[in-house]
Amino acid sequence: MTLQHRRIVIVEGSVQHIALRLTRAAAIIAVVCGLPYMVESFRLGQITGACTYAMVIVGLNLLAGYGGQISLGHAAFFGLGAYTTGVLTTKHGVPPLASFAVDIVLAFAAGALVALPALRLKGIYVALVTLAVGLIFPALVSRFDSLTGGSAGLFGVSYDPPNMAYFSGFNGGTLWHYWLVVAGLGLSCLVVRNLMRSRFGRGVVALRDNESAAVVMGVQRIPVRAVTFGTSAAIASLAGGLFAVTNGILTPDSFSLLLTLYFLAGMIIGGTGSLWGPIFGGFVVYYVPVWAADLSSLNAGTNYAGVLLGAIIIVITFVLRSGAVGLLRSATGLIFVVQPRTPTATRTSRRSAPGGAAASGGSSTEGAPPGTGRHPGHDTTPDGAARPVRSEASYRL
Amino acid sequence: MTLKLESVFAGYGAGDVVRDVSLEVNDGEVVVILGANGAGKTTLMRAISGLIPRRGRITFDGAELSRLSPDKIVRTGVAQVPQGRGTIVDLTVEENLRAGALARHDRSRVNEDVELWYDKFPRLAERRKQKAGLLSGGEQQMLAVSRAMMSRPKVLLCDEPSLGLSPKLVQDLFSSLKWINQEWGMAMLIVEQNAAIALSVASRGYLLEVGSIAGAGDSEYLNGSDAVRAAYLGY
Repeated sequence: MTLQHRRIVIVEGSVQHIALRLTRAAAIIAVVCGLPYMVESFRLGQITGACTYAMVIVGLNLLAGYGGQISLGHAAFFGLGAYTTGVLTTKHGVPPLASFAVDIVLAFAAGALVALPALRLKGIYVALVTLAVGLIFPALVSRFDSLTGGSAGLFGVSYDPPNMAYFSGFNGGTLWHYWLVVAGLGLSCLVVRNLMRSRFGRGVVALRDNESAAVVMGVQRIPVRAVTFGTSAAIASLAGGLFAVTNGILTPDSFSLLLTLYFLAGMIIGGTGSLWGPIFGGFVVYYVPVWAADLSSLNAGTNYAGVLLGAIIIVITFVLRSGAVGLLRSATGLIFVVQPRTPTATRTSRRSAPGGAAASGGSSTEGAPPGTGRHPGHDTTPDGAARPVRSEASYRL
Repeated sequence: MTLKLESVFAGYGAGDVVRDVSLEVNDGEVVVILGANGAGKTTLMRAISGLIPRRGRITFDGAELSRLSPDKIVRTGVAQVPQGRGTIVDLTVEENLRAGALARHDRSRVNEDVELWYDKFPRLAERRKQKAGLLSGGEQQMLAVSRAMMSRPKVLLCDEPSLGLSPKLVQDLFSSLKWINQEWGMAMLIVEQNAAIALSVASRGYLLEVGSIAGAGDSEYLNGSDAVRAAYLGY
């Protein structure tokens, strides 16, 4: 109780709440725009790399975090995008931007296709289907070496910055890559956020939490799962395309199963099923090997990246199931709470009557059986006349 | 508009749990299915909703439900309150309600309906932004009923709604169901073990024993029937 008193209570939709959200948005914009001026060029390159990983994790989180289906093949979708862009731009002269569109379409189709057999299966078997995809991909790349350059690598993938003063300096290329990837990351976050706030997103979570209840509510299992998988793969693939143009060199080793495991680790560390968690997780899985390499160089021959990530994951699973985002949430929860608005405004407004939909539902057989008039709070006026008034009265926001 | 089952068989593979069941629920009528544990009540409900393979004819409003997938069945106007409430624990109360309207496309009316159920169950309104998994059992049952009603069904199937609720909450719940039936003219098929309270809201009932209909009649008849009294009413 005492704690409750000391916390700042912010009512949802109040001035404070809006101010809080605006401040947060402003802070994000400030960081994103300010970073190029604050860090050295090579650091900016690292951040760009971390952002590509973050993008894949944002996509993976849609499938695994919100949808509850583990994918062991996301490095393959990442690689699919990278190689599509790589091959199209270097061998066929396709403009990079157009190749990104191809990445998205191709991976969406591939993802939806993988989802179909996975639909028949549950739990661990879904993981196995995607594992097959993840294992086959590097092998395929090596096999078709005339197209992909095989294990020797595919070189010279690039996307020249537009002719603008901002990108013309010494670090122009790095800046351009940074902004490309930031735009991609922003886009993916927006797509996932909007999907999850929609009717579709509720279906996704409902299927994860309680499949049979979801189905009897009318969730269309097959399309929902296929679109979830497709979208998740498409985001990973777009990240791959961006990786290709920012990196310049592609080798099959860059898309091994190990990378998928890093993505999964990043998702868990950041916070499964959250919006910001995957971004944080992307930075963690990018930077841990970088730091570990620094450590390893002191102690030649050993690689600490796996050990470090492993240790972090153990800590997370034992004490912090909701990941870094969960920690942040409980920390801010000590300072303030956002109180949801109770729907009092409509309390006084005229109640809508269930009979209305029956009559307007278009179903001729319905005909609002024994008593449109008996429905709760119903006007004495006939249905049609009352309708426009009603929808006005009970509409909020 | 009658929900009609004609010699329906259903089960989970090895054998049929429900055998040769025929019954009907007419417009605006509350029908109860009484049966002991393992009688096949839930299996029957799952068969109607299309969650498990079934044979025989199930028809409603001209639609052959026995050939439709679950999401299509909801769209014909048959909604189910699943056993154990089927709460989507990670969605908020409001998102759960809206999930109930997934099959609908009339957004402004969905908004009206959300308010309508908040009005009926103010507890849900107080907790609208909370994860539904944090609700009490009684609140979750309110949510389950209102969520099923969000699809604007023509028939509501309730699979053992009293499960795990205190006697007082069971009373409240059944008076809510009665309200829905009377105010909305909603036809209902309720599966229950609590025969006394179920018969108090139903007009007719069927007895289900080891997967088959063992008896049928109106509520007064069933209330007076020795078989029902001995098996379910306990006196």
